[in-house]
Amino acid sequence: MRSAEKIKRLINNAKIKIDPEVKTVALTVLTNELEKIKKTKSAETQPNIWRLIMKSKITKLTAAAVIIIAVMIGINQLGGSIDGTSVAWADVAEKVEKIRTFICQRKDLQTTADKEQTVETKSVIYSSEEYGSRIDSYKDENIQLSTYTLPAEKAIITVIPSTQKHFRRPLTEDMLKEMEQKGPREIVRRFSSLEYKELGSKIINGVVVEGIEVNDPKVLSANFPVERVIARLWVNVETKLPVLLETEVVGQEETFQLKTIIDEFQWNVALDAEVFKPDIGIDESSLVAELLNGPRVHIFADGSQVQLAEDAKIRLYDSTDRRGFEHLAGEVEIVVNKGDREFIITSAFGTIKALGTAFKMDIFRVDSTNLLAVNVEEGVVEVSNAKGSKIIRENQRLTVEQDKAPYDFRQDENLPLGLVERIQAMLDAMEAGDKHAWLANFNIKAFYDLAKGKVEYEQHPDWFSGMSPDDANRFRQALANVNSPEEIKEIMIADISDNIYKLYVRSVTLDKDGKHATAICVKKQGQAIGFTPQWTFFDGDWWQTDD
Amino acid sequence: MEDKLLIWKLNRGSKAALCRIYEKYRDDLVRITAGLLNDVSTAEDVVQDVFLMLVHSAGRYEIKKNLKGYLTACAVNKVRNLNRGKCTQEPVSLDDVKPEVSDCKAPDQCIECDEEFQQLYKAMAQLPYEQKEAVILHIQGKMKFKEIAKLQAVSIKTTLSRYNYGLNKLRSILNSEVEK
Repeated sequence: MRSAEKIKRLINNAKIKIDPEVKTVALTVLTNELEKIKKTKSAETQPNIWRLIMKSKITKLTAAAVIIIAVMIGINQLGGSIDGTSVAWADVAEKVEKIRTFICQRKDLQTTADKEQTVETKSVIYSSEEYGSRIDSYKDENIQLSTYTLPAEKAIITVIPSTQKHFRRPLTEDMLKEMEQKGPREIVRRFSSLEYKELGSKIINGVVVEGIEVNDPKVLSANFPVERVIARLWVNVETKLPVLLETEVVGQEETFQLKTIIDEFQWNVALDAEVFKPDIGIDESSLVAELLNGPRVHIFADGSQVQLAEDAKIRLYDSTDRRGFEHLAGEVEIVVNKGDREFIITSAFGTIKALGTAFKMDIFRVDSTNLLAVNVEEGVVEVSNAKGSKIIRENQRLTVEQDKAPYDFRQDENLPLGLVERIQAMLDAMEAGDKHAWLANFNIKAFYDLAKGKVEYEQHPDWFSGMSPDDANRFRQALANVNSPEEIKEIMIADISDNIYKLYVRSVTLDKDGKHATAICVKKQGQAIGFTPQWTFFDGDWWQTDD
Repeated sequence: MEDKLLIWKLNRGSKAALCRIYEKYRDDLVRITAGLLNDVSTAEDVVQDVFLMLVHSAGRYEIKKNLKGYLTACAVNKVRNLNRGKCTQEPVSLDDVKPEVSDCKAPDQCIECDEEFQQLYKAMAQLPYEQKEAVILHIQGKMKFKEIAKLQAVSIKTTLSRYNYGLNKLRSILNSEVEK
């Protein structure tokens, strides 16, 4: 005779003889496929300026390059002429010092060491001592991005013409000081103060120029480790002003290479205020101060703070008259300090108003529908939209679906108190991972009676709403030998998952006779999964009859 | 944790990560799938398809997912699809394949095991599919009843009764074989 345990061991020990050759060939097919996909994806991926700015390792090069170009704004006082050159570099410094505006063009070719990513960019720079600077980045002949640095407004505004979006971030005093310390005067000073070699003269666009080359990385203000540098500055012999700046920078361990050419200079050109006015439409109020992505913590001026989870996204209000923010996605945890004005969070689902409160909000997707869940840890929160309004307090939570009123089953007047308590008990047990508490919501005696044939499924299908008639039949046969309800409980407990979830109730529907209820719930541990537990009133109480 | 790292690497196109995942889970998946199909060759094809799916999802696969559970669920779904479309080809039955016992078995026991395995797979083939699935996924796949219930889209109680019923039936078939 074989016992169940022996059969389990037999199944567990069963192994299929594996043909190593088949396995090797199969794995080769898979790795080749992976290679193919990598190549296809690479070919399909066109350079996208926004993606590059946000994600690519090239981004770092771009950021670094910005610093190099920033060295073209401003000037420093130099000493006397540098011997051995026909261009007096002190004269160059003096000329550049008098520059108040300029326009130039910049081209970058950025390549990673493995040659996997090569990006060519072109930009035009406008600089004015009076108004600030503007950099237009081009793709083909179209402006992809315009960045305005505006000291008067203490702001850096980035405009994406194709999407008509713009982003504003503060220009701090430190940033301003740093920018003021870099400029044409600085580049001339660095070129002439470091060891250089003369390049002689040549003609560029019909103009006689003379140049010097510096190979010391100190010539640049790069924010990345530099392995090698070739920097050449060519100056108009007649005007004593720069005509061309060429740099070739190789990053540490040869991880990437950046070639930059800055030319087409127009010095002291007329640039009026209009050039530095961002084209962001008439509605100034639509300006957003900042779009924040998690994970991060943001502290507001009043000391209130919001913690963004990894996938969370919020938008700060531009106006300092308002407290709060716009909640766009993901989980955020908010602690609101007391203040004169209400702290209001806007979202696609409605408005959440808080006063001196700690609470969490989470927007996530379940069953193709977006859902907002609000969970109050202390204080009071009011959630309202066009369909209704609910106030929730400490340790309470509610859900809001698009175009529906906020729902809190505890405030659902249609539900009997016993049912509300039972639903709450299920939520508490699942969130605590308390298997015994969870199982206590089921009428185990009824299951025992079913197994022992004391109760017929057909007479009370509502008592076992999680089972079909066939399931009930099999259940009875499989557990016919159990000796007590406790034994059934132990069998069930052994297989309850240890997972702990965050749980939300989206709705609870009561049958016409008022003795059976079905809820639509969501459990969230990473991704959100819907489930529909049921409850039936029998034996003088509400019992969970399906999970 | 290792799985999360492997997925992170696979999402970035790492061949080494793919090989490691393959080595780690391929044989178990073939064993589970062969048990469900009673056919080793088709099981190998199914598992190859599952890994191809994984390769094609590289870059998009969510690190938060349980990798083993995901691969098993994919294999089970493919088996169900096969069962629905019931292939017309004559399968290479497990009866024709010599099972290999695990290393912990002593050599003298292995001889008996070979025969036992033949009997086991014959008995398994007689189980209704849902019961066989519950038994194999719980014992070989080490899946919890809750996970199997989710995969089978039924309640835990239903899965539990399918499992118990399947195991009892197996015991009954195998014991009757012994008595013959």
